Amino acid sequence: MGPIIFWLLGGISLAAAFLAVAHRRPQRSTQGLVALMMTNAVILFLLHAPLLAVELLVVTIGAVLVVWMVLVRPGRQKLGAPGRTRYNVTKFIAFFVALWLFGVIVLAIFTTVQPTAEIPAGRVATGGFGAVISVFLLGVAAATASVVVMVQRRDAGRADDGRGESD
Amino acid sequence: MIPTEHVLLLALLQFTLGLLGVLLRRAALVVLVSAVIMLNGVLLAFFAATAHTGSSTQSEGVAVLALVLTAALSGAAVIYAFFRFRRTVCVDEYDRMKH
Repeated sequence: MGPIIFWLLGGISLAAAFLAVAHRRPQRSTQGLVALMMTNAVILFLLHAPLLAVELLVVTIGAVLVVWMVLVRPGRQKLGAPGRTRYNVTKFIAFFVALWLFGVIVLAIFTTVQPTAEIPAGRVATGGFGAVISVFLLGVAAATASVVVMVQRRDAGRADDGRGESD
Repeated sequence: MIPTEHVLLLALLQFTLGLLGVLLRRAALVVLVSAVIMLNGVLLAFFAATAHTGSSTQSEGVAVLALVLTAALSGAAVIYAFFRFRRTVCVDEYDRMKH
């Protein structure tokens, strides 16, 4: 990774940090924090620390899912806001982009695992154990996200049924 | 290869932004977010320092990340408890320990 890419990502992370600190709405601050952690994960990944990067990603995804499940979803149900159950093109595109990113990360992890003859100073050696742990954590994150989406669809279906019966 | 000084500079900038948020903002959630930004900078600096020595694994970084998580969760719990008690998110109102 060259310094230009590093500082490009660093600029994005600093902009996200500034957004998190300076914005008036706490929701935007939280979104800025999530963007900062994702950018930091990419930076760590490009600095040959895939275990840290994947753990930071898992932490970010877990925090977002917990906030969404504990705060956002009950609030929406309490307000009676209708859930979006229809499929659209954006979801399919997002799914394939996420799948592509997952494949790139896994491929990069196993590429960096290749043994090197000499590890220069300033780099961190990544063992096979770290790669296995990283892939396992990615799988756990994907399974968690799938379960959350399934629960949301089930609840949205129940809410729609209840609304139809009350009408 | 990125020089260690660049990573340390980025970590310093992130830490400074988080420190400004902690000192200047009054909303409790934003203060907590700023503290997490500071700890993110610490994580980056820690990784850069350990990578500079060339004799480190990533386990120390994982420990720092666990520390970040613990601090964030503890802070969120404290903020939630205070919010239930005082019904405000302004940290200037959190003065119960004074009385």
